[in-house]
Amino acid sequence: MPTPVNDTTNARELAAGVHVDEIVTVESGPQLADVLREATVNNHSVIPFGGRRSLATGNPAGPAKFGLDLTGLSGILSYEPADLTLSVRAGTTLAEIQKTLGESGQELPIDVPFPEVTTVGGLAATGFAGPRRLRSGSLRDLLIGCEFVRGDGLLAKAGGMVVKNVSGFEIPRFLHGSWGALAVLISVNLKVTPLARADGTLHARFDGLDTAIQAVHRLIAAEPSIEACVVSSDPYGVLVAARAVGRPGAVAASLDSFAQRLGSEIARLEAEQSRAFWQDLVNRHAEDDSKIVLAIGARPRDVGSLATRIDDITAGHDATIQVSTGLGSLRIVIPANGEDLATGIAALATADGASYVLESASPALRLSLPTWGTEPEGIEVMRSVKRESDPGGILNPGRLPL
Amino acid sequence: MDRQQLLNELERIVGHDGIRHRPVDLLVYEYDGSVDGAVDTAAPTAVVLPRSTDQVSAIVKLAKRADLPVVARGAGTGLSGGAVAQRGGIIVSLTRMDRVLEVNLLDRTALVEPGLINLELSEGVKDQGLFFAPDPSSQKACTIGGNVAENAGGPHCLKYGVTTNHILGLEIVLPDGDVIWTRTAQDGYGGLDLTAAVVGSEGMFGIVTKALVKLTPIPAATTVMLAAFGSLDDASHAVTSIIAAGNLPASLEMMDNLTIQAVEPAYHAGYPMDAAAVLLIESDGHPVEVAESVDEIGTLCREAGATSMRSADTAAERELLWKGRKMALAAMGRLAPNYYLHDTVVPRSRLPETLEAVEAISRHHRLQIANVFHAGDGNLHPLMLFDRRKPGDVERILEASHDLIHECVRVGGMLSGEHGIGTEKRGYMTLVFSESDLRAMAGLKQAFDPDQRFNPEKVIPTGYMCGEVKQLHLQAMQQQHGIVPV
Repeated sequence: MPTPVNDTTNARELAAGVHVDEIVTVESGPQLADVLREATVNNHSVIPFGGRRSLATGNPAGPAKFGLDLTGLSGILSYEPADLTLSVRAGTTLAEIQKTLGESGQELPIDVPFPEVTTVGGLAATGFAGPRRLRSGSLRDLLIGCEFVRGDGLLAKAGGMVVKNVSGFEIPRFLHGSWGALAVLISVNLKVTPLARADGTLHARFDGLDTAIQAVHRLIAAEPSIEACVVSSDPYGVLVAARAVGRPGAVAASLDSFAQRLGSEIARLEAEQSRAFWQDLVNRHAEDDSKIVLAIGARPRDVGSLATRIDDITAGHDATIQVSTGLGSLRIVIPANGEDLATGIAALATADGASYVLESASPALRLSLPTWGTEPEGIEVMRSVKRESDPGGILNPGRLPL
Repeated sequence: MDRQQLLNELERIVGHDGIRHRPVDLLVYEYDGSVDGAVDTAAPTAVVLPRSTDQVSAIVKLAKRADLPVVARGAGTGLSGGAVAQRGGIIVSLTRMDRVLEVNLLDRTALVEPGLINLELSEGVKDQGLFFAPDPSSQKACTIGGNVAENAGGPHCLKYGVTTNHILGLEIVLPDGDVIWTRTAQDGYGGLDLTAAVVGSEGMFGIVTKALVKLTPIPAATTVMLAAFGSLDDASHAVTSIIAAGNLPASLEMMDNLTIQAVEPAYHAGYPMDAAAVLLIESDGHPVEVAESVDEIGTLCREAGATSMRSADTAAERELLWKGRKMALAAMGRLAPNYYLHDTVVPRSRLPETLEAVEAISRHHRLQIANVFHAGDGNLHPLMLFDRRKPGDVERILEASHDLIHECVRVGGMLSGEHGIGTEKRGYMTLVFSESDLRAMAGLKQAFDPDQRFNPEKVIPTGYMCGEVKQLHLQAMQQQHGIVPV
């Protein structure tokens, strides 16, 4: 077995404010297990990374001993188009996965920011979900198995290569969104779906955020097969984008129906244009070092009033508010110097019973405003799981409030 | 704490009418829906029927003081022994906590108590154009809490996913009596997805006292097709070609001739009695989408050798076609006094050879086996027919079951698709999981429940909780005739 590559020549900053002494590259599960076992014994902290898209999210971590580069752990392990299942190593990019699936007329029906660099392990660890969660779900809904190494070096697997499985505990889904605090993924098994034959998006313009959100509530209630629907408000106006995917006839009929229900249609996008619009929107959802990004989770019934109040306090600032009405999720993007504004938005959200995560912000703001919002319920159980999986506390120390 | 003291304290918590402790009253709680013989029975010390989260919490705190196990139970329809109190202790029956607390149309959610019956939830929100997607065959009796514990499936899971895809949060009582709400990893939440861990944990991590569930909009159009085939092989090839051609029906179910022989005379659903197998294929969604996929699926079935086909567009016609499928188990009494319903899952492309293997197992063990199952998911449900009164019958179904599980694992399948491991398949876990895999599972259990208070002796094979792993692992390998865990 080749030994892990230690690159000490260039101690570096993995992302803004995230420093490591050495970068270690691993190319196999057993190598990864060796690295983590030794790190636990020597009490060395480890920051795993893939596409480096989300390293600056979370509590600012102290300097770590190792940056664990997982991009070498890439490639498709098995793909059975007839079974609609795929097993892929964690460092594989989503672009590569979608390309392979596309050749057999299949896909992962999920939103992925920057698929050329985002790895499937990173997507799982960060638990990212975009507007398509409304109908098709997120990676969490597609995970059927995984292989992983816990912080203490235990190499194990869970789930399987079948689409329906209750043999043993649901570790794959549990690791989704755990921010590399418990284990590092070696590979994931996913169920895939037939590629949508057509894709279409309707744009409509509205005068105000609140009227747009109310219209979208009505649209979603009337259109059970709507794939995604987002209201965006920025200094240029309020835009609703509604997406349909499926067979060409059904997509065309859906767009007609969206237009009728929303009125004020300004554009229709088809096929590649439609896909590109949503890709761009999801990219803008992702972390942006030059901006402050707040992700807010609220009940769909509350998003109208919450978004309106946020709209009020951000008026006059260069702010973008994106609302996935049916999901109850809001993404607020404001300039990097809007620190007081961010604090005000976070206060509005928590006062309303919603929760927020500061996805992107300067290290200074991340010290003054709790990055993960209010402490989640069940924190003692979470800490207990952390101790059990990573007794040395070496994985991403301090990043999650565990 | 002596028994009488325990009973007194329990009665103080749940009241006189909320406790069962006489041997005759406990008898029924020794069982769940599983087959006596495949699963051991055991008597609890007492059964309590709480009406609130506070009562459940008080019961758990008392159990901790008395150092007794606690086993949560819903309708007792489980098929893997999950609700049987293997080490005695207190059974918490949640059937009196059965209210729908809130339905919100904008959120498309329902806040429900765990004892609510699955079908009652869908019936209750039907007029609002919504339904709860997981629909196990026992949905007229099984509870949402039980669905959560087992991560239950059902025919429509092919398109809509299993229970875990429809649970947004859970109120659970932890082993120390604390009550928390779990959340799922999603926008604006910075914490672990405890919901994902609890769903499917077979009552071993916490007792669910409320569930926030996702409701799904009723599709604009639905069509059910019935396709009959001259051989099981033709039918299973039709399944693989439908899926491989890029169709994702809402459900894709198969019934073989033996099942038809039981079902058709009982319900007159219109299944051809001479067919070797029928497929029940439901397509739903946008009307245009449905019309086109019905055409395409029809063509694929004909190409695969379908001998007859018809489709049902009205609700009444659809219901009749479905009745035969949903009531199939109940009709088995026409064929034999007892049946053992199995649940394994294989990659869909391996269905044809697996069904051949089932036939071979049937011949080898001289057992009648009926197949009625979720073909689209590769989720097999061989029904082994037997007569408990005949000496040797129970042993034969257990031997056949052993062969079946090995065959499914051989083609890349898993032990259970939707019924759970419980005690029924606990001994088979080493067939698909290594020592490390089981240690990782045991570690998760340990983190939630360090005293092994909740539902002990389930899922994880004996010994893996305590560290004497290697020895047991070797024994299991030898017993399994040299099969090496993957």
